[in-house]
Amino acid sequence: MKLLAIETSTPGSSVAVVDKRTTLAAASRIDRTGHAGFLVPAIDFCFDQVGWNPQDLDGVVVDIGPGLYTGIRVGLATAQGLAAAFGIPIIPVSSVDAIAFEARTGHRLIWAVVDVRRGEVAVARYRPVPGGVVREAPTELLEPEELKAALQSTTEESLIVGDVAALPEGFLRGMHHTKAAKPRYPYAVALAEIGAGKYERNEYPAPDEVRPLYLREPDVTINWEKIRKEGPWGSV
Amino acid sequence: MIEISCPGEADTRAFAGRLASALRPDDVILLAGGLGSGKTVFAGGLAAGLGVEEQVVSPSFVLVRQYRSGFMPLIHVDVYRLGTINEFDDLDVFEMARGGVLVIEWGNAVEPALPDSHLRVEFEVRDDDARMLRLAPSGSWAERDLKAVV
Repeated sequence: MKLLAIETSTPGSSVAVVDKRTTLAAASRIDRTGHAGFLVPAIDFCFDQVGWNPQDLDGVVVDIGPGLYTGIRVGLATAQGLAAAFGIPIIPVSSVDAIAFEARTGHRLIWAVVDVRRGEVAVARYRPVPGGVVREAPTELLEPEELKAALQSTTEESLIVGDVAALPEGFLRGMHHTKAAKPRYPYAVALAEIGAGKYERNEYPAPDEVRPLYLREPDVTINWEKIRKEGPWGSV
Repeated sequence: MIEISCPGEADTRAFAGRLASALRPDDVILLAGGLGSGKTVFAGGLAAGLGVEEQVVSPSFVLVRQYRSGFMPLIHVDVYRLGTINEFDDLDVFEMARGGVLVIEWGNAVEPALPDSHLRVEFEVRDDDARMLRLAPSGSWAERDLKAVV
């Protein structure tokens, strides 16, 4: 089972090629806006290292968010291009799931956090189980104060993972039952691991049914026609 | 609301140059006006006032141009080619402009994503080809003595 995993939903982009759950090659880069420039050369590099061609693939695992709008679109468009060209499935995985999965060892309740800008973070809560994690509730968009209240409302020992650095300074001060841990960003190798399980269980939609998970819906479309017609005073 | 009449391009440029003396780190200036109304000329004047050495050219194609040779960094953005507010968020211009001045052409289109504290400059083209500039300060801008630079 040969899979390519594409991770571009946060500033940490990465790519991995995996065969029978073993990572054969991977590439990564931290850059807030450089997803498009990184992705295809990184895929080329990984294929080159292991001597594969895209037609060898059995599937493409891709992070569908939540996270950076442009990054998610770059990743999903690339995955859909490969899927269409080679007739292979897309296995969508969520960014918070990939982060929580990497933090799965231990007994603490896991809170995975992804920065989605404009003062909000995407948050999902997980319980570690043998071999992985189980999400306890749907992913939500929260302001830091709301996340703090949620963390304080539980008496369980908690682990907060993901982009904790995007939270306000001193966020964890006084929260004695919560510890911060790595990873900061989801990684293609973890994504591939989750995706391999889904692939084996046939848990994936048709390629053209895969949708980004922005959570912030609907996005505000700029009404250019109105702005041009009304001139600069239109929206005052 | 302050109004300034600029009979020619040089006047728009000169006024923007004077306004540069009122700028502070992390300022946001939104330019609202049609094509050819003087937004890029205004940005060029601001750059000159900040001591930027390079020639300021329209960022319409590349979306963002950065000028770092002046007293403060100047980040010049044009959102004309963007389709949604999310695309604007992803440009991450506030991070780029930290400690500098952010000037956004067609900024009125992305106003929901801008901080409350900003200066709005509106450009109107008059029949005699003069430009009428209207300044609408909000937040920290409201406390500044902009009349002194007019």
